Amino acid sequence: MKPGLFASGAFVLVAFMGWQTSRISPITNPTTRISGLDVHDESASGSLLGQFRTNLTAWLWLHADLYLHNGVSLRPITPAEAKSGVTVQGPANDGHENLDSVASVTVIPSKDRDFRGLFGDAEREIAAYKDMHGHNHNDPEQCLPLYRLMTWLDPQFIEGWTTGAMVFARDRSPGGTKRALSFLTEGLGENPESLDIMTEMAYIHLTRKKDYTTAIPWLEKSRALGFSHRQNLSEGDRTALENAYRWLCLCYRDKGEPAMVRQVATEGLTIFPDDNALTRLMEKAGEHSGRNPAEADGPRSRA
Amino acid sequence: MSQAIEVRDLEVGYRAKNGKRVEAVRGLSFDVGAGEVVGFLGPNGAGKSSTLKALMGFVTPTAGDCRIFGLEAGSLAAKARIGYLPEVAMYYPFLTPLETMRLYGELQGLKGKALIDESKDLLALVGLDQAMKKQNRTLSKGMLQRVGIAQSLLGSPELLILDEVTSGLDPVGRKELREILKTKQKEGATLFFSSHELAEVDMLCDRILIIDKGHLIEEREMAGLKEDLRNYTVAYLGDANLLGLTDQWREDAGVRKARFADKDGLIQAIQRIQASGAQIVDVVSQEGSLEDYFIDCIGRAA
Amino acid sequence: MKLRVYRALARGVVLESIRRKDLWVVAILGFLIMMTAGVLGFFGMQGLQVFIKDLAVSVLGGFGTIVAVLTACRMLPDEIRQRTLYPLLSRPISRFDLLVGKLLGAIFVTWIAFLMLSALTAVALLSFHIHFELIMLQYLVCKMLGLAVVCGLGLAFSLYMTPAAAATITFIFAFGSSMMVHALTMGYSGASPVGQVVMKSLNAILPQLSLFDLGSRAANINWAPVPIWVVLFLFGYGLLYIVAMLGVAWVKFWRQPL
Repeated sequence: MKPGLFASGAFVLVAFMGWQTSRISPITNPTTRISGLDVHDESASGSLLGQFRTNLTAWLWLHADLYLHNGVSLRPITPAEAKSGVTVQGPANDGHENLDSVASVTVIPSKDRDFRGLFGDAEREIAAYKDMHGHNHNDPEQCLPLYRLMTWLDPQFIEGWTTGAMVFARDRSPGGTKRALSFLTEGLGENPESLDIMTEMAYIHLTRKKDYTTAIPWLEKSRALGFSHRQNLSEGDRTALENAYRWLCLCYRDKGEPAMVRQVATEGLTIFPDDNALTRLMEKAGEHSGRNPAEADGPRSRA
Repeated sequence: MSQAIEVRDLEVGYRAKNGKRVEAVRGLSFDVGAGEVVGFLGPNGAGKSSTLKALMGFVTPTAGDCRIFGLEAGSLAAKARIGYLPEVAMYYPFLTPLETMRLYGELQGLKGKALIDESKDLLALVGLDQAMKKQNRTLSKGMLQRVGIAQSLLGSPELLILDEVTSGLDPVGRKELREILKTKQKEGATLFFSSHELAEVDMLCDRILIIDKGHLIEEREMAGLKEDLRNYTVAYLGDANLLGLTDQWREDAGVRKARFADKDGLIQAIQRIQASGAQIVDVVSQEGSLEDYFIDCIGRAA
Repeated sequence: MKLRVYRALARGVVLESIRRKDLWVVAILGFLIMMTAGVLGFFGMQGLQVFIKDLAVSVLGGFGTIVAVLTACRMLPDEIRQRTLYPLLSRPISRFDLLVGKLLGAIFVTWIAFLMLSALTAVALLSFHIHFELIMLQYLVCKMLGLAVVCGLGLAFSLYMTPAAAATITFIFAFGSSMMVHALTMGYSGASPVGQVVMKSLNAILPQLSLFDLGSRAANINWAPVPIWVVLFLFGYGLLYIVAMLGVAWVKFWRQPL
């Protein structure tokens, strides 16, 4: 009698958990997982301990940093270091400075900050080390295999798809653009509801091919999906949705449809009330209402 | 006569898995003269292997002293004069007997063609000439024992310490081994070996040492022991008064047989039988059983 | 005579390892991984160069370390368990000689595996039209030295604990050495004077295995070869550490009942 009761109870519990799956799946299987990467950017010790990452995709993502810095490891500066006068080793204006968003120093300390004597001198000669003040970045194309690996290992890792596509399309060649779009299409197949990938798809069509006809449906799709799930969006999805609204406004502005601009901007401002770009676009749409669409500005490049 | 092995008040102890101290050898003292063949006997767990390990330096005695040809046991100089056969030895499974011999020979300071030739000769001597190039893992237990015997003979050592020397060998192998050891003895080598095969001990040894629970309980020259163990049986027809001479007699199909531990008893018995008019059928002299003697020693020690 | 003893012992270890086909497993694994890299060829040669070199040094370093640790950590415990030690030690060799000979054997097995993988890697790199630079040769030499130190560590630990525990600890040092040292450098400036003394002591004792890894230079672009004084320093440090580990091993082994 008792085993039967326990078994029935367990069955009921399992059934209840299954019924609740749709509510918990965004937590257990989110389409973006950048929160773990934030530790590397925000914490020096987290960055150091990151050598033992359990998530291989995150490890590859951080490994891409190494490629960009020609093998030199960087980590966030500690408050103690900042206080003691250690200066941040930031990037030069090489067009890729946006790749460095965190105040960093080299993991291997410079000679004046190193207590290890000969061991430290040897390490600075052995490892990839140099003074990274005003450093340049390697060609991001070197990182392409890593993005490919990331997306193979974890097809739900959205940033792998979007960043990889951006690197493909970086040279603005037809071949690069084609590869970028193909890459994003594959990513969308794995993540059919990814706002980020849809927005990125539209962005490439717009900036590389000036193809409004293809771009706008992607942006509309992103907008519709994002709006319907606006209460449950991840950080990455919110950013993508905000961009989608902005780009849609720009597209409709360029096509001389101010009414659509206002409609889209209004809707966007209900989710992102502090977005100055949407506010400006809506105001300008109100000003331009009735003017010749040919006099409107073309889409400005995001890069 | 110089001593090949000198052991004085040897004590060897181990710490068992439960943390308790176990004394495997307690206050053991004995000598083995150069050129002697000495058998080292005892029941399982008596301390034989521990004694041999102490002689080889594999364990450090907790007390006492061991010397090999006057040198400290376990020293390099002492080991250079010893050929050792472990009780249960394995040899590198993926090496061949020839490669195994070469390895051990080089460690002994032998080298070159001389080493290879000697290795081949020894392997042929122990009956492994067909198997010397097969990997050890393909050999049977008996063949591995032969590899062990061969490696112990490398370099013609002055002292052979052999633990359970006939283990795993078939009767033919044991006979061949006896011949080898006899030859080594004639060449002047000293043999000190433990064995459970008392027949081998009987055939080979000049002297035996019996150990039990870590103590030496008996030490006998084989010649004297055999004489002491010899008994005599007289078979006769008829009646004779043998009271007071023996209590070991029986009747078998009308023939009476009486046994005597010594010759004097036999002679008196024969005189009485003849005096009584009985007919003597047979007089037999036979060696006693070493096994019975061994069991008797262990029993007395217990 | 000593050299002959060491050579004989080392040869035994190498022969056993080769015939046990340990090294073939390493070669097959390395080959498979390099073939996997070829699948990414559709990115074009430009994008692949750093990645392929990075993969190559990672594979070489990783598998070399695995072979070193597993060979060194199992060696003596297996000898004791299987009793192959008795016929060896019955010869006129000291226990220290045995340790040196066995360690040399483990080092040679590791180096053979490493060089086999390096040869496969070289073929893979050439097929991707990646040219060899002096820094890559320096990487090979220094890595081999580092693997010898790992062997020494593994051998020493294997005498104090089970083979599995010894392997785990050795792996932690091998793969975590860099993290440990950098944690010290990061925390030094904020530590108390006593803490700083402790950190300096730890830095002196910890095996600086990351120093033997020139992988970050070899994989990336336009790094100059390391100066000769660095290579000599590594030789000296590596040798000293190996001798120290032999000493640690001998302290346990010399009176250990067998």
